[in-house]
Amino acid sequence: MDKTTIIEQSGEQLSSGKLARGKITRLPYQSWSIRILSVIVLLAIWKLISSFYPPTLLPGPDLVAVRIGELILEGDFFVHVYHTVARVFVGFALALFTSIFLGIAMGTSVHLENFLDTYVLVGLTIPGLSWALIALMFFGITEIAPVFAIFVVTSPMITVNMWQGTKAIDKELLEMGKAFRAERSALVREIIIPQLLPHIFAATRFGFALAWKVVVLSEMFGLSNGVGYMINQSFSVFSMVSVLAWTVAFTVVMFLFEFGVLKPIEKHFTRWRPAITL
Amino acid sequence: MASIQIKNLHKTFYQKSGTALQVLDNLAIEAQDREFVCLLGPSGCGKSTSLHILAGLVEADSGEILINGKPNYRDASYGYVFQRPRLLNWKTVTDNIKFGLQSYGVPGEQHDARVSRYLSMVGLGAFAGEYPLTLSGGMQQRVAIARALAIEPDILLMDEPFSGLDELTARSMRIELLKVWSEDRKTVLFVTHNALEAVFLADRIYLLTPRPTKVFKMVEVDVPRPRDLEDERLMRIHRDIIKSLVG
Ligand SMILES: Nc1ncnc2c1ncn2[C@@H]1O[C@H](COP(=O)(O)OP(=O)(O)OP(=O)(O)O)[C@@H](O)[C@H]1O
Ligand SMILES: [Mg+2]
Repeated sequence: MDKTTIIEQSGEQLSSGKLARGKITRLPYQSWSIRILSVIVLLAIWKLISSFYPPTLLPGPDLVAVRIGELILEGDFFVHVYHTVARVFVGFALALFTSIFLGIAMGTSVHLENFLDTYVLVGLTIPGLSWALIALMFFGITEIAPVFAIFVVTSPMITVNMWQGTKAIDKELLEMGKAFRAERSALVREIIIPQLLPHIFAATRFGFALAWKVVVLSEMFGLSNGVGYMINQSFSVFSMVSVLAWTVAFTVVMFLFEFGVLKPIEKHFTRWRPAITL
Repeated sequence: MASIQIKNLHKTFYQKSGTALQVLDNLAIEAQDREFVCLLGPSGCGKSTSLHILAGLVEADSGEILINGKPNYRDASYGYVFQRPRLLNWKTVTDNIKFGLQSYGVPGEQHDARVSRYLSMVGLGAFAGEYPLTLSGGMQQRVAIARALAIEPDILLMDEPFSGLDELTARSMRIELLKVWSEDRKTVLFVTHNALEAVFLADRIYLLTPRPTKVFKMVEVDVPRPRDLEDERLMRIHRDIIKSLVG
């Protein structure tokens, strides 16, 4: 006996939408084939445009791919990617940790909200380039400079996300928890954090994009390794193919992180949500 | 064993604008052990507030609440069913019920037995592993009822639990609730503004005034169970209630 028949026998009235649950959801391989198609279209457009220019000015994707292969074989590639990724992760992790607390505090206290609001707005406005330069001037050519720059650039954005998320928390569920005499820690763990998770994922996504942009600036202007440093090196010898190779390679790394790590984790935590079909 | 005596209950809320809103004015309600009591009153009169006070969500300004004649009413246990199911959508049906058990401090080794006992009591044994959003509204509310029953409370507080459901589902849920309740009688305080529902369910009905709220009439429903919704005696009591409500 499948579930549909159980539902019918239990005397429940069901909308036709419920009975059809699971039938209209898109098959995973279809979504993948569309993704791959979009990449192929992008590469084709790039290739087409590049055919109008000399390869020194705009190399096609094939030349860039070859250059990426060379970089990997030369061996430096992973060293520089490692440095950049490590800076992004440390800076972002610190920012995430701090901002979750700040955001929850702003969402639960009017005084803190008014007090911190200004800082968040100012923080969102200051250009990442300014922070990268300020950090290098203040901390010198150290690992602290890029980590600090990432921290201050991403924190306001994450804080805003957590702040909004906290305000949107379902108060009726908290009341339910209290009616069942749940302890404070249980309320946070079982009721508050699960409702903040979608906001944490959104913040992670945008946060990484921001962090990558600012770390590259730090590496260009001061540090002596990392993807930004190598892009700058390529620029100084006017090698467009190398600038593109480093840029594309790092984008691929970020893509792998998105699809290999972030999406599966997110999927795990949102498995309770029925698929949306229109 | 739990009888309830509520005496001289007062509650005033202070709104954001600073104005005082007197909600409960000398409210007095009694329920015998294992009695099914309905509170019937207009919207906004303070029915939910009264249940909130019992469950410890709101402090009364003054008044007395005695459970079995003793004043430490917070020592009793209360199962709460709200108007909306208020399930944790990210937890399975089983884990939602366990959340209630865990929160109420029921020892872990009893959890599995309680979950299966009360889930099958509300007819959802086959849905233990499902997530709430895949269930219909009526089924979600049954999970909420199982969650409240599973802590095996002294007192069951129900705040318009069927008002969010369509009338046919609500009807069958009322019959099921009485079936479950007759197997293991708890003292029930059931809030509603549906007079017919109150007459069908209750042993005793308190009719409440608009704010500031007190009891203006108490009606005993002395009709044996199981009851038939078409029963002449129920109909007569219903007519009397409506008459006294419209004045
Ligand atoms: N925390 C609060 N602060 C201020 N006012 C409140 C608060 N809780 C309830 N009230 C007010 O007290 C009154 C009674 O509310 P309550 O929810 O108890 O009514 P009710 O009888 O349950 O109404 P309904 O039938 O609509 O559910 C309402 O006017 C409500 O606005
Ligand atoms: Mg209410």
